Amino acid sequence: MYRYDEFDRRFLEERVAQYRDQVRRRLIGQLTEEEFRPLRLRNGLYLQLHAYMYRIAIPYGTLSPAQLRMLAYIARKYDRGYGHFTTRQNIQFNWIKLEESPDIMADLASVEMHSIQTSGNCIRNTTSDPFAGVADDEIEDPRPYCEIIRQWSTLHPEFSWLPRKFKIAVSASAKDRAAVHVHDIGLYLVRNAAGEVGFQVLVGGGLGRTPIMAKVLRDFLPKQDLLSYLEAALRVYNEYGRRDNIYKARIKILVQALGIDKMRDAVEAEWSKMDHEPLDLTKETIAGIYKHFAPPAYGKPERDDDAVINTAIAADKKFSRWLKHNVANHKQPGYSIATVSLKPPGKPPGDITADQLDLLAELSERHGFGEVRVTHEQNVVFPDVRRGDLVAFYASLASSGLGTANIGLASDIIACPGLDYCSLANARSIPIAERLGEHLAAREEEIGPMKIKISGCINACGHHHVGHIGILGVDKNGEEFYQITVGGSADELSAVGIIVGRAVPSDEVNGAVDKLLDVYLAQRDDGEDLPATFRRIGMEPFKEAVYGTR
Amino acid sequence: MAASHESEPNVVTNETSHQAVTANRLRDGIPIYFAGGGSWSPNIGDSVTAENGETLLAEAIRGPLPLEAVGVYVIEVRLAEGAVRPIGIKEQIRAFGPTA
Amino acid sequence: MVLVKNGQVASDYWQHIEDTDPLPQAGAVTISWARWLSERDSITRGPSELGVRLPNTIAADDVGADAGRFGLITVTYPNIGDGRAYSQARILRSRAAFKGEIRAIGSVVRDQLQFMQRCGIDAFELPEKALTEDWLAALSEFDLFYQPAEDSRPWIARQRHGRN
Repeated sequence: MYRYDEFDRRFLEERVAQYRDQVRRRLIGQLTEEEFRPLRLRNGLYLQLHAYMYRIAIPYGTLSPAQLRMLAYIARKYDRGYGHFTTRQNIQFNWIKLEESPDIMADLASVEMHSIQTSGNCIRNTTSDPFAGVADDEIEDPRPYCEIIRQWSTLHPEFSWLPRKFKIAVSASAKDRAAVHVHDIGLYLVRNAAGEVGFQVLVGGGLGRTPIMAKVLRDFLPKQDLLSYLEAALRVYNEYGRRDNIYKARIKILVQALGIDKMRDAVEAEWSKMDHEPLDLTKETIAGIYKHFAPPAYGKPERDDDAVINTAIAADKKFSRWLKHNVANHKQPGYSIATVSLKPPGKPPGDITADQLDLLAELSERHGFGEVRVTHEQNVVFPDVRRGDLVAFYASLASSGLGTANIGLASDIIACPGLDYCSLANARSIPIAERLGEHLAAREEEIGPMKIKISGCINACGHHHVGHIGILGVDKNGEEFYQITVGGSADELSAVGIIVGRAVPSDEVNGAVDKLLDVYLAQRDDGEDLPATFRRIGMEPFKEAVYGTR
Repeated sequence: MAASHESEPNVVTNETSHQAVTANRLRDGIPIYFAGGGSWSPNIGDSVTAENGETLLAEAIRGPLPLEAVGVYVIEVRLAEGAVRPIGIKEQIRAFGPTA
Repeated sequence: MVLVKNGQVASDYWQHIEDTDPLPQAGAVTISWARWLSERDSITRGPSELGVRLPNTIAADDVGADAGRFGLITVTYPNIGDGRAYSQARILRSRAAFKGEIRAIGSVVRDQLQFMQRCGIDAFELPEKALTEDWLAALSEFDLFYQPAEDSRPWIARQRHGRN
C-alpha cells in the first residue's frame, strides 16, 4: 500500500497546524459559525444531532494494521467505542468534540491518515474496487491512479470551492465493484485497439435527488493525460456548473443541460487550450507510485490446502456457508479474497467496535500482508488469505461476532446512519435495516444474490436508487414512511430503481419486501438477479403483490 | 425505539402546545436548551417554554449571539406532568439519543 | 478596507470609477468589464492607468488579447463558496499571459488567501475586521503543494524526482 514520504508527512503536519488554528479562532469567537463551517467541513467535521461527526478518509478503502489500531484508539479515547464505515469507503465517528478534533487529526497524521476533503464542495475521497490488485479479472491495478488523483486533488487551489461536491471512482475490471456509473467522474482502465492501457472516462453520474447514470466523455484517454484531462473537466464544471440552486449544482445537471456532446466539446476545447506539460504523468511518476502497490511476496500453494478446506466443509456447515458467500477467487494460486461482513442480522450495518478494529489489525498481520480494504458496501476485505488458513481465519472471526456469512445476500444491507445520527435525515435507516436483515436472514440462501439499500433521506447516502430493492425514508407530517423501489443496480449494467407505489409505515416494510421477493422467486429464470427479472416482467406483478389490484 | 419514549401518550385535549429554544453547544456539539437568563442546559427539562417561541428566541439571542450556542432554533414541546417533552421523532432522538 | 499586495500592506492608488461617472483625465482607474466593452475604442490610457473589474460570470478567455491593455484586473468572490474566480485568475495568468496585478475583491477570506495566491492572484482587498498580521501569515501556512499552479512554486511530484 502507499506509504507516506517526507513530503506527505510534512504536508500533513502543515494541515494539522492550520486546522488547529482554525478551531482556536472559532472557540474564541474570531470566526463565526458561518465562516467556520466551510473550513471544518473540508476537514470532515459535521455538526450532527448529538455531537460533531468526524469523517476520516480511507483512500480507496485501504487500511494498515497501524491505521486500524489508531481507529480503535480514536473510538475509545474520543468517541463511544465504535465507528461506522460509509458507502464512500470512509469511516465516521459520531460523538466527537470540536475542541478535541485537532488532536484526533494529529493522531491520524501519525499513521498517515487524514480527513481532508471528506466533506464540502470539493473533490472527495477517490474510491475503487475493494479487490484491486488481487482480482482475477482486472486489466491493471487501479490503486496507483487513485493515489495519483488523491495527491493532485488535495488542497487543489482551483477546485476546492466547486459548485458542489465531486466524486471520482476508478475501476479496472469487467465486473464493476466500485459503482463507477454513479460518480461525477468514473474511470475504467481499458485496453485500446493498439493494446495500450488507458482510461475510459465517464461523467455526470450520481444519486441524490436526481439519480442519473454517467455517460461516456471519452472512450480512451492515454495514462499520461489523466490529470490534465481531469483538470479540464473540473475547470468546465467550476466555470459553468450552477451555483444558484444547491439541488441543481452537481456536474450531472450540467451534463444534462448541455447534453453529453456539448459537454465533451467544452472539455476537449478547454483541454486543447491548456498547457498539459506540467501535469503530464511521466513514466517515472507512475512507476514511483506503482512500486508502493507491488504484489507482496506470495508463497507457493501448500499441497494440503484443499484437504484442510474439504475436511472443514464436511464438518462445519457454518464454515461451508461462509466459504461459499464471503470468499472470492484470487489471481494468485493458493490465496483467496475473504470479505468480513459487518452486517450481522439485527446490528447497524457498517458499524464496528474498537475491539473488532483491533482484531482485524491482528488478523491482517496473521492472515495476509498487513492490509485490509473497506468496501462501499460497508464490509471489510482481507485481500490475501492463504487458502490453507481460511479455516483458522474463519474461526477467529466467528468467535468475535464477525463470522456472518451473508456477503451479497439479502441481509447484507447498505444503510446510511439515518435520523438516529444525521441532521439531514427525514427518517431512521438503522432500525429498518436491523429488522429487515433479521427477518430475511432465514430465507436469504434461497433468494441468492440480492442488494438491498436504505437511505434516510433523498441525499441517498445509502444508495437506495441502485438497490435491487431500495428503501427511502420520507417524512409525512412528522411520521416516518418508507418508499420502496425495485430494479436498481450499481454494477456494469447500472440502473435506477423504479418506485413501486405509495410509501409504507415502518412496520410494513418487512411485509412489502417479502412480497417483492415472492414475486421475484416465483418469476425468475435460472441465474437471473432481481433487476434482470424486473427488466423482463416489468413493474405490474411487483406492484400488484404489494398493493393489490385496483 | 428506546422504552423511555416509546409509549408517547396521545395528545391530551387540555394540553396547549408550547415551544422551547434549542441549539448545539459549540465546543462539543451536544444539544442544549435555552434555560432563561442567558443560560443554556444540556437537559431539556431545564428549558423555559412559552406559547410563542419567537419571543423566547429573541431573548436567547439578544445582544451579541452567544458563542456557546450554534444553530439556535425553536422546537415544539409538550408539557406532560411537569416534564418538557419534544414533539416529533427528530427532536426526541436529539433529546434522548439514538434509538438503535 | 486594507489592501495587501505581494504579501505586504499597500496603498491603493487606483480610483474605481462607477459606470455613471466620467473618467478623470489622468490617474489610474478601474472600470467595469461592461464599460470596457462599450467604450474600448475611445479609451486611450495605457495599462499603467487602466484596470478592469471582471465579474465572475465572464469567461476569462474573453479577456484574451485585451489583457495587455490593463495594469490591474480585479476578480470577484461573492461569497466563500463561489470559486469561479480561481479559474479566471489561472486562465489570465497561463493563457492571456497577463503580467499585471490580479486583485481579489468581495468576500476575501483568510483561509482562502493561499489558494488565491497559488492561482495567480497577487493582491487582496481584506475586510475591515481582518487582523492584518495574522491574515498575512495565511500566505505561508503551506510550503508544500501537490499540484502545479500559477505561482511557479515547486510541487511534490516533481520535488520527489529532484526537480522543481
